[in-house]
Amino acid sequence: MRNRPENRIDHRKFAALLTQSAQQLDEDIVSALNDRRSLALQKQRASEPAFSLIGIGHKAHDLLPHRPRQWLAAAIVLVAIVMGAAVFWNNIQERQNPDLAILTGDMPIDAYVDN
Amino acid sequence: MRTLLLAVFCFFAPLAGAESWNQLPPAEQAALAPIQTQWNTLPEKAQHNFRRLAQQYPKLTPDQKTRFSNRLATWASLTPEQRQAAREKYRAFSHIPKEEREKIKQQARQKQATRLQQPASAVPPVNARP
Repeated sequence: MRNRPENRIDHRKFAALLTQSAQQLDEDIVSALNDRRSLALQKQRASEPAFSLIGIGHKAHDLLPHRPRQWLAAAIVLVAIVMGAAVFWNNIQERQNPDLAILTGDMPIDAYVDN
Repeated sequence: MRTLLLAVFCFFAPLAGAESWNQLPPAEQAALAPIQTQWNTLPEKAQHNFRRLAQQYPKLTPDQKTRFSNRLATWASLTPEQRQAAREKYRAFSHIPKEEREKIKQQARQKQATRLQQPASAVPPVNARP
């Protein structure tokens, strides 16, 4: 029933009719409609979800360094983090298996061995 | 394909069982030279540990390399229990405040110097059991 040809809306004709009607509107009405549209758009922006993937993308872009100095600072921070992680990892390894530290440290091996 | 197989072999080779001295890579042989005569008598686990130490050898400073070579034979001659006790001592020692550690190190060095001045017959071996 719904798909009968006589019941179908021709979107092109509908759009043309709307355009024609809009051109016939008074300036006051057009201005009021524009105001309402702007207001509706502002409300929509305010009610945008705070957390969204697009939002994260924008924030990530803001956080990325843009100038050479910022890149240099970021590189220094990154190198410091990597070096810190390496030292931390070495310490963990040394605690787990301190043989190398015993064999190479400045404390004589006799100090660790029961006589 | 051949390269891939070689890479897989190289990755799993250290996990395999005990290896004879001649099978060790030259770099490991150089690092473990002080224990060459003991090598084939060492248990598999000890061999694996020593190989891991040898792999760290190129990264050591010249002083550390000298100490490593001087101490390796003594370390290898210890029993697994003695080595474990030494590790525990090391861990306990590393928790002591730095200043106190330096004092203990100084005392240990003096003790060692005194030992070295004594005639060899008067010095008990490091791994001597009571």
